[in-house]
Amino acid sequence: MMGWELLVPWQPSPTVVVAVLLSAFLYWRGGRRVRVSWSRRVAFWGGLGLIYVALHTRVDYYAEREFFVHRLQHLALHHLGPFLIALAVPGPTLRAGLPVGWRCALRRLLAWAPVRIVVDFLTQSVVTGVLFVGLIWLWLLPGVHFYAMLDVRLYRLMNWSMVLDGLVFWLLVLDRRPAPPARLKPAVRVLLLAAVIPPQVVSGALITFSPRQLYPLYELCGRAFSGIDARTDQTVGGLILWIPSIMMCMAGAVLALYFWYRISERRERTGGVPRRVSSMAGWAPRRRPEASTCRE
Amino acid sequence: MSPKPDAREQPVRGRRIAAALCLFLLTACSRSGSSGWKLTDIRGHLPDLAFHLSAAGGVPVTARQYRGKVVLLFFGFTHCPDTCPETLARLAAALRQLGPEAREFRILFVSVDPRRDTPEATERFARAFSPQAVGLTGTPDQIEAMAKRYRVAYEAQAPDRAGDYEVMHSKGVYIFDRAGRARLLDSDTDPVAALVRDLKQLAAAPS
Repeated sequence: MMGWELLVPWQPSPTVVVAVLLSAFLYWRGGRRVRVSWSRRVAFWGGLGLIYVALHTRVDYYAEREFFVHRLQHLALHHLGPFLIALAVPGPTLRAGLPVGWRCALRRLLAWAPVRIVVDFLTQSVVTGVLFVGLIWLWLLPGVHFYAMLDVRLYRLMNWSMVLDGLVFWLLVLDRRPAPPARLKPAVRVLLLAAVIPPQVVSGALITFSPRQLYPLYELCGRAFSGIDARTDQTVGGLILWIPSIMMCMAGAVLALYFWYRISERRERTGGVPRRVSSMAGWAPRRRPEASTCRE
Repeated sequence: MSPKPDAREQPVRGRRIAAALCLFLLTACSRSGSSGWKLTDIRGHLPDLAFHLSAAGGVPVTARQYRGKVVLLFFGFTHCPDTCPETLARLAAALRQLGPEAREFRILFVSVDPRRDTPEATERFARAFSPQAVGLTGTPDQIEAMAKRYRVAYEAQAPDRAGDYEVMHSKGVYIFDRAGRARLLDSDTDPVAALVRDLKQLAAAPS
């Protein structure tokens, strides 16, 4: 089962295709109008490609059958893919890819009260951290995991929630800008990345060292690899849940520290007055009044 | 332009939404311990019973023919050394304990090895365990469609020197009520008494 067959989606989903194609198109179109360094392009395409492969290829089949592949899939959807996309700082490029009228509409939408309320809530530091770890824990509760793997609608909800929450989290914590216009202060970003590490260690260790079978559904519905027994699958899955995600959070913390250092260094150089930075990651600034003009 | 109009309201709003999230988490946690079934309740989580397969003699069969009976669906292959015979024996023992009520049930044994298993061979294999057992198989496409529908895996392993091979397949037994709705999931770790009790309850339930 090699070659092109690996790319055929196990369960085709028009939503995934539309979302990925739309993002790709906007980024490509924006990349022709705005100068984007090659490293950021690589990061964006790498992250988007990784998310697509994890969601919409044969990998999905194996993720439904083996716990450790499911953990690898979620590592790509919740950590690595969004991490790369956040490093690419895709906001300005994506916005440049929108037609002008749509850009104005987007700005108005982001300034609309209900949207602002939801965005304000989701981008509070505590809520961000709780959601990031909470979703990992939620979908790993044995009762919830059983039904998520059995029911195709819950399964899709699980994967989508991981992707979207991963994007929100990593876009917030890997923001390079000072606090307004960024949502979180530089120190809070670093603290958040540090704070989400212990819960992931706990969940990873609990699953790796658990003596009982936590997820019997993989046995019941049939495995993909005969050479791997349930015990090994759970242990390896627990290790994947534990170690690579911790390493990514630590790498993220180092990056966030570096960005913080750069911001404070720039402040010192400009004598305490921060330079006016353009809105880069595309979040609506918290205190701006209704947009009076919609500039290009 | 007031500096932070939401500053005081945010904690309150945030707390309310957090409370709603906790409620949702709690309901999710308690979902598996639901009403009165000893086996795992999967009501509403799998599609209704539907398939296009072949019975002995190449007769095409669909799920409609089993409406009105409680169906125990199970995937395997006739060359299976242990899992399939054990499961079929277990299901047959449960049906025997039900006495004359066993007529209301059908065990559907679907072979996922169409290369070796003809419909007749599958029927013979299943019928050896219980008069209510039916052996079915189909073309590879039909079996794949059904496996995808019920999210089960099966994969033929590499053949040994004699050309024999095992097929890895699911172990669970899917139980559908008389209207064809997926209701329960039985595994080999559940005691036979629990299976018998739930089957009785399902047969008595109005469909």
